[in-house]
Amino acid sequence: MHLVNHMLLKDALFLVAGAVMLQGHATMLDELGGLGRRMPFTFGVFLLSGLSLAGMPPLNGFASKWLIYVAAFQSGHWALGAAAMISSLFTLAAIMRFAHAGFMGAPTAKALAAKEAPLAMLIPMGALAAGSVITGLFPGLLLVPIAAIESDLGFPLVAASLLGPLPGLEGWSPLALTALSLLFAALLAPWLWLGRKAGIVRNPVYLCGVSDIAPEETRAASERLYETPEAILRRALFAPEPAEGEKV
Amino acid sequence: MTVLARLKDMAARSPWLYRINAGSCNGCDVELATTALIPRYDVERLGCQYCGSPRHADIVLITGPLTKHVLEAAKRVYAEIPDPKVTVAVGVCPISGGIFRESYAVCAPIDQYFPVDVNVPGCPPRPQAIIEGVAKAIAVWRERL
Amino acid sequence: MTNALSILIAALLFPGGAFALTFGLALKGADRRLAARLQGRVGPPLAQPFFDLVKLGFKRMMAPTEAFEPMFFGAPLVGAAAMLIAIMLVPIAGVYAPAPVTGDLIVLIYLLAIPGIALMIAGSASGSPYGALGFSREMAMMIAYEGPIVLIAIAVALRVGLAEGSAPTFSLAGIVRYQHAHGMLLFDPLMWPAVVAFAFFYPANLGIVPFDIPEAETEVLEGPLLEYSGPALALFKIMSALKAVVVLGLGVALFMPLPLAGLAALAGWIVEMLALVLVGVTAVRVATGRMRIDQAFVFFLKWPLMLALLSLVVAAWSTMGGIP
Repeated sequence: MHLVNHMLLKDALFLVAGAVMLQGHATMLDELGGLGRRMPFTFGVFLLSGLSLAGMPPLNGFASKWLIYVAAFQSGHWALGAAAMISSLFTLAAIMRFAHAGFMGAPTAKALAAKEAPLAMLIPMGALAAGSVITGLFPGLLLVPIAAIESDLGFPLVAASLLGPLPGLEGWSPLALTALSLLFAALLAPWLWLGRKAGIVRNPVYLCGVSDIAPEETRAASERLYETPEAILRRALFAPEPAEGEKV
Repeated sequence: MTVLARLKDMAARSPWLYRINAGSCNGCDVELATTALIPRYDVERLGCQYCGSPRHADIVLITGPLTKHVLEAAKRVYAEIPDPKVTVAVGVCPISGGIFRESYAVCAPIDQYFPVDVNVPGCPPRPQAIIEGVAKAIAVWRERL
Repeated sequence: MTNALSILIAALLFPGGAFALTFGLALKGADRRLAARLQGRVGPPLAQPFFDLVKLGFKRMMAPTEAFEPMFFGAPLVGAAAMLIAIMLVPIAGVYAPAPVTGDLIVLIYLLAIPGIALMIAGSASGSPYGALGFSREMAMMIAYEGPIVLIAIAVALRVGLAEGSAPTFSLAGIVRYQHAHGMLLFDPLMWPAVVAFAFFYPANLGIVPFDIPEAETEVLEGPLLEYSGPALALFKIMSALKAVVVLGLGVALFMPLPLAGLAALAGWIVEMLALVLVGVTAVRVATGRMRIDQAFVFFLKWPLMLALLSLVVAAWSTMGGIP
């Protein structure tokens, strides 16, 4: 099941990268920034696929990761399960860095010229994203065919129904969690909406009153975003530090 | 009392303070620090707390005689504070320029540029005077909510 | 259908929703009052966080012109909604057991990562350089403290599961049941490293000095929350109050659920939460200064991570060796 999910998500991410490269005419992450306002649909697909891949409940990437963890622990490979759980944290770090450096933050000159990707690129991205949402809400759609394959191969069956929750004694239902989260969002959103109705005051970013710094100078370059953990992990793993100014 | 009036009473018990140092000699800023931190003059019992961002602020405390150098920056930061807000001029410098009033670089009195609601004169004003000024500002703020 | 109704009640009234929000804000108020008393001051009234929330409802909403607004306003919404779900997964010993359909310990741990993600998205969507700094610091802190909590959770699951003779159990209701039968894990010497690791984990997760680095007021001017005002900021305060209840409730459920029932159990749970707040939050907050991000990161890699790993390894090998 993780195979299918991974395929849906990673392919969506590749398409996003292609759209960004096409529209931004850039290949390095540092040359772009603030694309979120100019390519909102692309950004939406990226966030959905990226966060799902990093394992954010109740999206489909997390559902299949959960199955793998439970299976690992039930078969006694707890060290592998622990390592897998910790590694998904670093996936999250990578996704967030791309999201920040590429899509949010202050725009660069190249990014200001970018527009939303053409429809021919948006439709496949949207289809893959829709696919991941559907398999997220109804994991049974994937698990029932998998159970059929398992019965052909003679493995013990995965207990799953088409519309039901994930299998196992402690199986949870992504549908229930998604419904609950939508309910909570609907309960909390009116407060924000009331605030919007009163009128949002828009003024420039707070820079302690300074007004003569250009946006490019306030951007944090993407390679500097994680310099603290990077430097510490480098020292911990006895890797050589890159020389000043050298890119890694 | 209507529900709204009751809510406004509750809201008036949580005024957050923000300091703008408009060229002050820091004497008044040190006094502001004592009203927050020193136990005897604790201002948190009124529900006040200092906030690090102007966008969280309710009561603005302006110290200093508003030097020309800082005028634009102070105006810009002041605009970033959301309504409803109350402005308190702490010390005699924002009120009239204090001992710097004859300087070429000073733009006091600041009520030419900012709508000041409460004046707390003194050089520096005693912590008790500052707290009374803050309490008066809370009363003004309650009317504006 | 009664199952769905009970889940809805759990979500909206008790222990989620209204109860969790009220209790979380009360915990925060108690912490501020206790901290003031420890510092020799009078301190705000206990209901101060409620007044703060009401006041924020009256303020104008502001947004920077460079902000990406769907994310800017969506981040607190997602964070608060995730925490409302997470509350339903935390058991209160003797009073409430989470329904399996809502998730187990693994789901809870991943849900606990969402407020951090929301804070990071908030920081980066503001378009402000301070927000970007807060973003990078929050990511570093998340890497630092998520490792230990994962290992702590697996250690407890292994201990409980293998002692019962089966696979590691991630069901929180099952962990509580085991402790009612065999005594609290707080008193189990095999779990003491994990307890110490948890005691370091939860101040960092809740953003308490000395680990409140992403939201440092004097360093990055409140970091990700700098550009927020009004109801959006109120949602963030709600998110952090709920997160406090979830994390502290998780600690109580993992290590010290009381073997009582009914109203006595609820009272005991409240007392335990207050005790955790006093020891780990208030006393630490008034006694220490903030660490630097590299100091905090190295610290977490060294002590809590190693302690949790120690507990994990010891739990796995000893229970496999037959020590009950």
